[in-house]
Amino acid sequence: MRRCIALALLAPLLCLFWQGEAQAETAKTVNCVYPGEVLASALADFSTQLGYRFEPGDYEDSFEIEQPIWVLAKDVKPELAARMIGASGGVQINLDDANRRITLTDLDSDEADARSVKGFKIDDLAAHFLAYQKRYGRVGDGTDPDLLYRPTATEELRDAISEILRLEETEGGAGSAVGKRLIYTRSKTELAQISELIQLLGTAAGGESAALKLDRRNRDELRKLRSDFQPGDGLLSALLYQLFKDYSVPVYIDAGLMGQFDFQYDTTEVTLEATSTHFDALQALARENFFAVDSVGGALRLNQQDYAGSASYRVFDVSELLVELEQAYTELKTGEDVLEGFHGDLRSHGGVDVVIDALELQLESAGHSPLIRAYGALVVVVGGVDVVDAGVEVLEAMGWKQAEANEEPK
Amino acid sequence: MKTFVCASVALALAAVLCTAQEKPATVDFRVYDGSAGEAVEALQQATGLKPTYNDVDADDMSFGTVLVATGLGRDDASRALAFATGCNVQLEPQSGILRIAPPGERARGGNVKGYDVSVLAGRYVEYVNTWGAAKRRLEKDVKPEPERTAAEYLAGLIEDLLYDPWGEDLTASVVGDRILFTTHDSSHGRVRELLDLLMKDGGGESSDLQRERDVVQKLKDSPFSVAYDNTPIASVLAGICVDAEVGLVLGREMAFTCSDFHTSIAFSKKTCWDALKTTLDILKEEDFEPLVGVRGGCVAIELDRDDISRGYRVYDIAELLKKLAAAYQRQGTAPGKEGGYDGDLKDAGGNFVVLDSLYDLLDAGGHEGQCFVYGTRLVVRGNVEAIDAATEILEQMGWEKPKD
Repeated sequence: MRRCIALALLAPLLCLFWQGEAQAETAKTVNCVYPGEVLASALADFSTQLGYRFEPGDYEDSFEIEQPIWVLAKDVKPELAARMIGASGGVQINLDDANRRITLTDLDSDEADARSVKGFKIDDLAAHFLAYQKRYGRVGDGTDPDLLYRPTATEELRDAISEILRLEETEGGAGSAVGKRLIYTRSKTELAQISELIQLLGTAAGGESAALKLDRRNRDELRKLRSDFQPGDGLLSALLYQLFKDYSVPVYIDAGLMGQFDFQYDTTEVTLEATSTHFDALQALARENFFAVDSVGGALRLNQQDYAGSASYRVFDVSELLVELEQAYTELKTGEDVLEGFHGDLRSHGGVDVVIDALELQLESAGHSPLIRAYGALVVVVGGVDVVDAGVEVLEAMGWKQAEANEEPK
Repeated sequence: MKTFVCASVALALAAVLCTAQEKPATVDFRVYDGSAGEAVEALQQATGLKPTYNDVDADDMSFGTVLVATGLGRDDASRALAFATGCNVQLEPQSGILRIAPPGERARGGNVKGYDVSVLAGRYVEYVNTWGAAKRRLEKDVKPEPERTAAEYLAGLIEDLLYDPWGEDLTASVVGDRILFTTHDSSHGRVRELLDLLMKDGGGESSDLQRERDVVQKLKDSPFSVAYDNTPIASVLAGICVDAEVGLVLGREMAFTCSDFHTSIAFSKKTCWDALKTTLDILKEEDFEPLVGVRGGCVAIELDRDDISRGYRVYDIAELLKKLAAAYQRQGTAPGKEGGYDGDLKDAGGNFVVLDSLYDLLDAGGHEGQCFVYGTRLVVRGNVEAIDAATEILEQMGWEKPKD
């Protein structure tokens, strides 16, 4: 009887204990202090923190696993840690929770995120594009029409989305255009990015993507940091660590950029001074070493200027600007048959290309490498906060005005 | 009473401190055949701006430099330094940066500005419609050039006229009747000044030309009597400029040549301007071609460069065009006569009638002036002598100086 009572008391206690452990398992976070650490050592530490086994498989004794990575993050979820370590090392890191192990595969491996199919109705956007084409679309120049690529409004949107989100560079194709629908078979993350872009294109006045907004917040956090620091022997590695060691946001350097650095010998002219912020120093460092900064998956990323994997952009609606430009070109017309005369209009000058060309040239003049894509009168500038904000300045210099904040679907 | 005295002392101290802070930093260069790095350091120390090199290294600044000047403002100092080093030097006081890039390369940074040129473009359209030359008939199979708008012609004029091999290249984007440039404050200032002068009735002289006039006048007003024995030419030039209280900056080629070239020469009751010319004649006898301009308020000399002067004058030729139109009309004869004329100013080429003659006559006079037209505005870029010669030629054509 006593034994029964004791067991009865023990059972709920055991239940409580198990529940607590399960909760601790799901809420587990890790620290990634790998500034210039060799990938193999970083993975060994990462797996120890998780209590997993690290099974390098085909990567055992490989060149890739002996390369340095640069990741600095505190208390982050294992999934984010795995993504950052992988992106910095140029491999895909798989967390096998069922078998409590970590494995490696190629970045473009089929073992990546599970894919699903999704269709998007784009009637309103197609209507917007057709209205633009009717008013400003370039007139054919008599070239054989069979030689020209003449996409429908849906196909044009598919191409635009593919270029903006760099879909052609990853598995899954650029998507299918069927009537007024776009169909994609992609990972959950990518489908969410496509959905966000379509939604922003359909919003009056456009707007910023979530990744760009996050990038803005991440930069603001870095602006809060100030210190006096001169790296010993001007070493770049020392400066990078000082820049981010007290930063609350996870940060990593992607594999492409890692290939440019030699942390043992590379030096920098940049120093930290308490009169300016760590963000100012990062910008100076980016200018000095020709890299870009953006945010991916919540983390700040230092990368080569190729925007791959980034969904950081802003959509601008330039419809009103085009109306003003149409009027300006009408006023610039001269009489017939005069030398140095002009008889064209906004349409003959390229429609929205007038805006795109100027945006591109002026951003390049400011030292940016912009990726700009238009869909009708909607212009998308891809990149981190500095590129997008510089884009706003250029557009304002053209006469574009920020719309009121009442964003309503078209 | 004590409190009153203390308060007064504190106020006086504060006032002194404020005055000290408000006083703009001036730069003294005393680099005589030292390295370009020394000149950069002098600017850095005086302004507190940190040099940031783009595609050029601090180690590349080891070549010999001659830059002697005192009390230069920040902008003038950066212009003189750019001339001495041949690099694109840009100040960014807001970010505390002194940007240095190779010649012709962009120095990064800068800001975008859009200039509304609707009034100027409107005037140009009016000119083309009234006086514009007739379109040339193209031969068969010749594809016509794409048409350009009035704003695009203006953008081309700005880029060409303000081109400066010791400055920053300007790349315009034209959007309707706006012209956009991404560049640094000093270049934006030059764009603004040109647009203002093109807008102004009667035109006028650029500030660079006025500075050049002031410096030349100073040299002409200063007497000079000194004898040099086996002295480097750079020292002779520096002596002349110091005597006239103006700075001296030599371009890279000139600095290289002058530091080794010694001469013995005596000046008696000459002006500094004459002494300068006589000294440069010594180099000309050796087949060098030194050309003089003004950069940042300093006498600037470089070899074999005809684009040193960046000053210009804008002339309003609207009245002259009216006179010419009337003249061509008066010369009209009855149609169909041998030796007759039934054309007009349009047929003769509009403003090109003035431009072509001016260019030929300046060239015949041995002047290095560049001429541009934009509708009823004519612009001549060159040194003071070239501009004065152009003014004289225009007056001979019937152009009249603005009354004010």
